[in-house]
Amino acid sequence: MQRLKRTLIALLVLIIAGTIWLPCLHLVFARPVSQFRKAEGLSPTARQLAARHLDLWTDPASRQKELDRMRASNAEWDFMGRSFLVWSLANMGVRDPDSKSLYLKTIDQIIDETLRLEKEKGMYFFLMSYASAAKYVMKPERSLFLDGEIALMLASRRMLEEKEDYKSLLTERVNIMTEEFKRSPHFILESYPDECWMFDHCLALDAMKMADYLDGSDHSQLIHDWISMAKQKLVDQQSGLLLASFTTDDVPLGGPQGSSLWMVAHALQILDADFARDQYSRARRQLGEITLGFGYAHEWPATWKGPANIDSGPIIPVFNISAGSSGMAFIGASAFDDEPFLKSLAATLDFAAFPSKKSGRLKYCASNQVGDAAFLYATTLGPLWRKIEARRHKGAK
Amino acid sequence: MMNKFFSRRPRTKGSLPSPRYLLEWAGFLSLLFLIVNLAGMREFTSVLNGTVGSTSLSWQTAAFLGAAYVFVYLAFVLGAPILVLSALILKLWQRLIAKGVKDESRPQTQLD
Repeated sequence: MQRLKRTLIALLVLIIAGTIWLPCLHLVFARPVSQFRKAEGLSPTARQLAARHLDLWTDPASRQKELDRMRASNAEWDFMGRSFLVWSLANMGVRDPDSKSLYLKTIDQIIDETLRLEKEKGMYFFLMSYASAAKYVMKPERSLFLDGEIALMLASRRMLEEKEDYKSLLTERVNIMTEEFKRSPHFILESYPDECWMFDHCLALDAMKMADYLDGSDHSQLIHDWISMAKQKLVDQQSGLLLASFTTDDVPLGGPQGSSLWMVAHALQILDADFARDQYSRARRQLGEITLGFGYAHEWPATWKGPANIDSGPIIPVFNISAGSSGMAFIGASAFDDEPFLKSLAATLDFAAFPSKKSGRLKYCASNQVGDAAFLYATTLGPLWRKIEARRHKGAK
Repeated sequence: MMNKFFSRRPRTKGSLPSPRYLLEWAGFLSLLFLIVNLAGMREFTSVLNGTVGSTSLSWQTAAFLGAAYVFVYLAFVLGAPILVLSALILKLWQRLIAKGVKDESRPQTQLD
């Protein structure tokens, strides 16, 4: 009897202690937002993450090791890690002009190597293996995933500083995409065989917008028409969120997915600012959560049921926390200056992503190179988009 | 094995569990966390995003090491502070009981 009483008392005390500790836990990991992102200049997190990425590009052995680990799971991540890093470095060059030459050198190295690999090994080198298991609907086969992101890499580099060699490469890539859009019966292009992604379309349109800024071309009608079509056909009726993937006949494939949507909302900012804000607000309401001071995101809204996949990452039950959506939510929160959400997401990152700092270099062990590059982008995004916005306002006046 | 680590003396003679026993568990979890960190198991948590922690180990081994690290980490971050707080609460409780017993056994005086 005495033993049972002691056990019950111990349980009661543990529950009381847990009730005290759990709401306080986030305070151990909470930092000011300026630690993660600053309006001007570079935050400490951005500097430390960038230092580690720059190291990877100056040490081929470390880079190969990291790429081998990622490519064992997903060849796409190798490519997207390059894209996010180039876009980050281009923004960093504006934020930190003293290091611009180092950033430019690394950007050129990444772009040149990516173009070389695409030329030598073909587009399938950067795609998941199922890309070659079926036939593309449109011929000749091209992936908007590669075309759009490469074009955006070239444009971002030129936004930071002009490089004559990249001018024709960007024009060529943009012209190919424009022609493909014109040939496509439903105004939709494939990334994988009969699989089209909102993420890739929005980034491709961003690249066109940047090309207009840089070269005086005009793709405004195409951009306007595509967004009008997307609002009409590619929005999930229940949530009002954009679908992540669809077929070339605009049949939905994957519903609205957080791992795609946060970046889509950011990409839309220079295409249709009001629509971008609307998508972010909806995503924040239906996908974003803050529990006990920790921020995270769901992969799907409550109105859509879908299985965990390579994009969502593992989904933690009960709370329905998606690693992929939570990681990309940083980009949304940062792009829309949502400081409370960004602060709570950063607390989760320090709590659950296992940061490892060595000699001023930061990486998150639970993440990988592409994940860390996306975090770096969230800490640095802004300057390139602001340049385009400034031109638009000037034009409007 | 646990008996070798934890104290063998009777945990408590009263109706309350021993705060020291809870502190010993908190210490054990902290030590375990220190060991997995020194062993470099933090690197294997990349299993959480579907990336192998090391290309030189099998997927299963890397996944096991990653999962073990996460388990020990959560035990340290969530469990150890709760155990320490519980020990403090119990200590306070014991003092209050001891004070109550002392007050009851005090002889009655005119003023009481």
